[in-house]
Formats: sequence, C-alpha cells, structure tokens
Amino acid sequence: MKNKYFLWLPCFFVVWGIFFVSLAEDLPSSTRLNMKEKIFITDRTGRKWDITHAIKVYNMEPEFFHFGIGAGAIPSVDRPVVVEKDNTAYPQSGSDFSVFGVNYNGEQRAYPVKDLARHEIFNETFPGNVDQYVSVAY
Amino acid sequence: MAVVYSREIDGKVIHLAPSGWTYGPVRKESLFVLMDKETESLWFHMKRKGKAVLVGISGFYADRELPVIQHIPELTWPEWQKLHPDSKFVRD
Repeated sequence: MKNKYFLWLPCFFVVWGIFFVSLAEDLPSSTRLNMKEKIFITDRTGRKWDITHAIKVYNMEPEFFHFGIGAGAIPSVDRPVVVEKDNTAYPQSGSDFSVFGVNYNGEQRAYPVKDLARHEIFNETFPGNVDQYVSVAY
Repeated sequence: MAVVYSREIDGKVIHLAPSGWTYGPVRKESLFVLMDKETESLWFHMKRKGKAVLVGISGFYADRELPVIQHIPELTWPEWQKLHPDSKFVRD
C-alpha cells in the first residue's frame, strides 16, 4: 500500500521543476522578444521600411505614414542647371511666375515653384568655404 | 514656404530625396518624409529645443540633425528680381 504514495513523488518534482524553469525563462525570453520586434511599413513598390526607431523614440504612429509611392517616384534634382544673367535661357524681367529665392554665401539663386513642386528637393552646391552643400526642399 | 537644409554631416556630403512617404495624422496635410541616397535613412522636419531641424528618424543617421539654414517665402520672379537684380536662375 505504501508504494502507491512513492509513485506520486516524481510527479511532485516534475511539476515544480516545470514551474521554476518557466519562471526563470519567462522574463529574459519576453525581453528578447520585445527587442526583436520590429515595425515595418510596406510601400507600393513592395519595399519594406523599418520604422521601429521612429515609433519607439519619436512616438510616431505607423498609420500616420501615407502614400508610400516609392523612393525615386519623385526624383530629386542632383545636378541643377544654373543659368547666368547673360544667358539667353534667363527669364525676362517681366515674366510672371513664382520662385523660391535663396540668398546664401553671397550668392542669390531663384528656383521656380513649379520645378520645386515636381522634384521636392534640389541638392545644391553654393560657392564658398563653409556650409556650401545644401538642399532646397519644398 | 520652402526650406534650405545643410546636407553635410560628419564631413560627408549627402543627397536628400523624397522617400515616397508623407507623415501626419491627416493624409491631405501630411508632410514629406525625406531620405538620403547614401544610407537610405529617413529624415523628418521637427522642432527640437525650439529650433526647426531635419531629424534622422530611422536608419544609419537616426537621431542626427541637419540644421535649417533658412526658410524662404514664395515670390513672383519680378518681386525677387527687384530685391536681387544679379540673382541666378536655376532649372531642373
């Protein structure tokens, strides 16, 4: 009759064993899971963008990212054409159109609003020794 | 209104471009999320310590800043020419 109770003894250790192992593993494994958890948004070209940092550090919301038409869909201008005053392509003084004018490092350059709207960014190089590389963004 | 940012960081020159994304609670009023072509980090215009800057929000340049050099208003060509008769003209 006594042997019957000894049979339960291993079960007791097994149950407590599982309990302690789960306690020990629970915390580190869930922390690891959070660190691995990355947040991606997929644009219309199928490209995935990792925005984990933007969400966690800047509290940005994944659902506030819109359009996702793809990098290069709006091409930036990396080699702008600078037209001097004496060039025939220089617009006449009476011409009625809108510009964004930059006065920087002693140089003035005007960018037509319609060109800037089409490209969003002009990557520019202004003459001078300091801070000459700039982007004009609409 | 347009903005001029520096595109020099750690002695390197980078090229900014639209990432294809905009950001904001209202789709219609959302603002462009930019990227740099060199590392494809994402950049977004923010105010930090009262200053407007372009902040790296993800990727290699995360948490880095590109300063705003100037904000520029929209003018007509004759208005701009009156202010700066020797201005150059830039095309795409």
